[in-house]
Amino acid sequence: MKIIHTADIHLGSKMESKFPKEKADVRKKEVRSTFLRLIDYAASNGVKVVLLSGDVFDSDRPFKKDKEFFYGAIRSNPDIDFLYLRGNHDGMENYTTELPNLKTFGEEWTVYEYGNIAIWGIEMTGGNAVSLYTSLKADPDKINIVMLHGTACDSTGQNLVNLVKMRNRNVDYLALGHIHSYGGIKALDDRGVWAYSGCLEGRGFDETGEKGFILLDVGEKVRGEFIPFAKRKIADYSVDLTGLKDFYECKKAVEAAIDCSASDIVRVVLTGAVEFDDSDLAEDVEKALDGKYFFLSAKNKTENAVHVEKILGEISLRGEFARIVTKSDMDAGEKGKVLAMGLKALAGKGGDIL
Amino acid sequence: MKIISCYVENFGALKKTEYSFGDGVTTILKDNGEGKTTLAAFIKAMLYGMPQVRKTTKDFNDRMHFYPFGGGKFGGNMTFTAGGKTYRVERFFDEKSETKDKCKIEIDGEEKELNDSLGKTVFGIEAEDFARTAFITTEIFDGPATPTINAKLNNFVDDTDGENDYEEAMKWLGDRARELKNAKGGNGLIKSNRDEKKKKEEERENLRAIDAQMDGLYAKSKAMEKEIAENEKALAEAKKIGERRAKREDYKHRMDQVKAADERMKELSDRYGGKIPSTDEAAKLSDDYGEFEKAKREYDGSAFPADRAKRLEEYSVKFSGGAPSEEAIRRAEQKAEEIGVENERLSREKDDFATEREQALKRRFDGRVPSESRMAELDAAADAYREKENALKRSATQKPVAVKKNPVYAIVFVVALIAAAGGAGLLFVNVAAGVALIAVGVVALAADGFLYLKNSINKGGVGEYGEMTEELKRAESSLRAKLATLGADGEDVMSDYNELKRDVADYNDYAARQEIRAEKAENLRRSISTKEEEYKSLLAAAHIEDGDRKTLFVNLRRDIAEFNDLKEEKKRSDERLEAIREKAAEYSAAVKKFFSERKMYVEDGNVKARVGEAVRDAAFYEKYFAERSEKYAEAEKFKLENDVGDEEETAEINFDEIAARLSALRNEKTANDREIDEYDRKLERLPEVSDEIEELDVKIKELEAEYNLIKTVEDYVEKAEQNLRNKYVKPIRDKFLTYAEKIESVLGEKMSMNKDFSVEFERGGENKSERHLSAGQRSVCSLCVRLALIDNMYEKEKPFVIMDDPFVHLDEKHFEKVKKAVKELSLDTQTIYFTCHKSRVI
Repeated sequence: MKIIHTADIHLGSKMESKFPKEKADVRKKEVRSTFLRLIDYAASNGVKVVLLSGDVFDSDRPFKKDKEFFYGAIRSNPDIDFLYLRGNHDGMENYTTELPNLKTFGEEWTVYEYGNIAIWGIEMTGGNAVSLYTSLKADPDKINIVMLHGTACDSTGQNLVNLVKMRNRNVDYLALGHIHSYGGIKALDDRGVWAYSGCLEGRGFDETGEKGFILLDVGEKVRGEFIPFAKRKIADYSVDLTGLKDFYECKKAVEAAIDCSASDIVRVVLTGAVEFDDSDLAEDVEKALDGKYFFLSAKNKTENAVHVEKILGEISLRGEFARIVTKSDMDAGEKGKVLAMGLKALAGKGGDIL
Repeated sequence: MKIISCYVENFGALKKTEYSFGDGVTTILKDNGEGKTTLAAFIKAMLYGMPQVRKTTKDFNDRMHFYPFGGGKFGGNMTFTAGGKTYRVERFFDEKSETKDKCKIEIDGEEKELNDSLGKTVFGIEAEDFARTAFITTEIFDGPATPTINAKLNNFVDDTDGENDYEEAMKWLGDRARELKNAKGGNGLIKSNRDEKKKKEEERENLRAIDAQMDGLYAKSKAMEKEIAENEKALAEAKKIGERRAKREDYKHRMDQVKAADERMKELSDRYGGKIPSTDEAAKLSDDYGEFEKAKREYDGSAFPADRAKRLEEYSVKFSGGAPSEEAIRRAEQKAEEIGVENERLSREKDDFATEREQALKRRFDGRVPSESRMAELDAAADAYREKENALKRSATQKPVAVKKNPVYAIVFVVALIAAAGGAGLLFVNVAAGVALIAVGVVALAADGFLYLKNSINKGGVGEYGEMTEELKRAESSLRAKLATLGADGEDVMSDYNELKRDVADYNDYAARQEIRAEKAENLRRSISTKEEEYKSLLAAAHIEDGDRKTLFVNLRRDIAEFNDLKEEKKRSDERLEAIREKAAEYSAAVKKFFSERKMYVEDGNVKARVGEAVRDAAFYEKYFAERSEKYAEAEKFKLENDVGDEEETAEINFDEIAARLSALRNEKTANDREIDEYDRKLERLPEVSDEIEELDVKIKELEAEYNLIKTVEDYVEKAEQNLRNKYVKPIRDKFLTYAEKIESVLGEKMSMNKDFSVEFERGGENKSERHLSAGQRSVCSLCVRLALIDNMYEKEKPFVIMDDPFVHLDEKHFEKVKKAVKELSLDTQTIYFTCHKSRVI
């Protein structure tokens, strides 16, 4: 039997604040459309069950339109069972619509069986976060899939999944949600494996990399395969521009650093000490690469290289300025800033102090 | 420091040129364009090298400017002394790259590698400081229109091109600071961002207030949903009751339709005594009646035709005794034929004078035929004549010729006779053939007789001629006389005789034959008479009326055949009519039976109409029945499918009230949901607003940090400026005053310098601005200031001064004073003085 493991759809979530409104609106729509594509994928690939391991919605009180969208999608696909386990974002009152193919969970273990396959799930609370491990009574003769929403670790608590305690409990596949990146399918114990599916679409530059779901082929064992599925990839690059002497060189360095397609979302953090003054470097980079990607954001963290040693011997105002700043008790960072601004001021309009 | 010499291999316009320099002032007189400035640049390049050419280099730098386009090695060497050591530097430059330059430095003859540039090593200052102090061009000593010396001095201590970079820098910083924070108006980026943040915070508060309402709206929506569900349930139940009622009404209506159909059917059935015919029965009735009508019409149309009946009647009368049998007819016919044949024969026997000759003979001799005696006399006379004639002939030497009898006449006679007899016989068989044969026979006989007689006449004898002739004549007269009596009076008596003889013979033959014929005719008449009697007997026996015997039997037979046909026809007609009558009776009986069975009295004239009605009624009945059955089935099906139960006793339900309540609730819920939607839309902004506030926080902090940084920078710049002034202005002023004192006699004024490098001179006990000095005085002041700077700025070795024709503005009188002053000032500083005019040679 084929099963899809996904999580963290975060319907109704805000998008990265750097996105322009129109791009943010597009991304919100894409979060929805990707979920629909997942269902289409399931329908056309013989997938019988979709595991939603938490945070389908971004809020305890989702927007009405998001609920209507979600339940409409479930209702329209009665041949597929959707096993929806609430997460930390959508933990309250989200099971507002009862549908025959929508299976939900509670604060105690609930199991849904499909032949020899038993799918377990429990919604973590402060009350069951410790006891849930021992209360799991998975039949060793069945293929047991367990759904949880939390961070995999070796400690116990709400929103924490203690992998150590989960071992040797006849778990064949631990379908986790909460972490938004797929990190591989890893061994749980001699019998089982565990994985985060990650989210379906990245929403900002804190959700970079390939996004998708895990397709499980459950026979005598559970075999999982990550299926990249996101409409767009979000990538975050830090580009060191140290020593570069003009914008042209910077642009080339940025282009060389980015490995993305035109549909992707890119952020470039410009770092290092550049040999020229361009206070609008980030904006200039964005303009230069405008249209090359779905969206590109540049953040300028560069500093102007101040070759203060060259001017320390100057019998000049800037030489004297450099000398007294250098000798001051400010920390190095502060000195750098003061030097950069002061020398810029002393260079005058368009003056080249370097 | 002192430059001793230099050799320019290739540098700008200079090629393979060597220069030597002495102490004090070394004047190099060259025309414009001959390389004064180039040599100055060469000296600087030998000391400090040249910046490389970059792709982004916008200005035309020295390397680009002085690169020899004519080719050859780019550079040269220079020898100078400094600090008691002799330096020789040789540099050859690449077209663009500094790293490809070749530099060789010898100190006191020993090649050395230097960490810093040669100039920095020797002078302790950077190239730019060297350039702005050691190079003195005309611009430094510009006339009254140029900036003040004070400003120039400030430029000397910083390296900007502006009049006062301190002030520019402070202005720039102040502007930016004011942009960030305007102290007076309280405006500025920081405040505007704070204001923006405040607005956002208010927006967030509003959104949070909305967010706080959402639970209530959702609860209300849920409550209304529940109430709607209850009302929907009540309405549904009420509807169900209503539907059941409606269904019962519907069922009742359907059954009423069934009853109505029943009544219509009963009404129809009653018309037929309760035995409404089926459409098949009605069809049969209609068919029967149709057949009856048809038979009736057929009967009427099938009567034996009157003309035929008349004919039959006539024949019946004609053959009242019975139609003669064919045998009788045949016998009568045969008899009639026999009579006919015999009549034919008889007619032939009567009419034997068929030829004209015979007719003529008959007319000539009938009743007047010469007697035999007369004929004998005539013969005798003829014989006598022939004798006389023959005798005469013989006497005329001719012997008489024996005449032989010819047997042909006998044979022809016999054959002709047989033919005539055969023809007579044949008459009984075929009248025409018989007559023909008889005629042939008669003609043959006549011809034969004629020829025989003729031949016989020609036989005679002759006597003595004369006598004989007389005798002959007498004989001839005698004969002629006799002939005359018999009507022959021709020329040739013998011919007359022979002709008469032949005619008489022929007539006699004819008469003989006529006699035979008469006998035969009599016999035939008797036979005919007998047969006529027999014939009449046959006719009488056969009830045949005699008539034209040629057509009698043909017509009789035809009449008998027609009579028989008519009789047969009549018989068949009668049979058919009888059959039709029987059929009509049968159908009529069926029709009558139909009505009688239903106790319906139908007048004869109305049968057709009633039959039609019965057909229609049967069709209607069947239609009604079908409709009734269908409606009944539908009603039953409806009852079955719709669970039409019995009447329910329920309280009166006010559907409208429930529906109105439901509608109101739905509207209210829709409004509530719309409000939720609207708030949802607004609340989508909440996280965005929070982000925006955070971003504004960051931005404000950044701006504040920038403001603080600006303030810090301002402090440091101000402090630097103070330090610079404290550190450099006084020594420069002191040196300036030293140099000014040296040339006081030349200048004619007592010079002084303020803290801000402004130069003044004392005149009439009053300090005046250097602006009041002449151009030459100001030029010399400037030189003093430059030398004062050199003295203070060069930590290690004082450099030479290169003067690039700076006194072009001076007239001869002032130049002489300046020349003197320059010489005075150059006692301690090597001065390389370039000029393009000999009048300005120092």
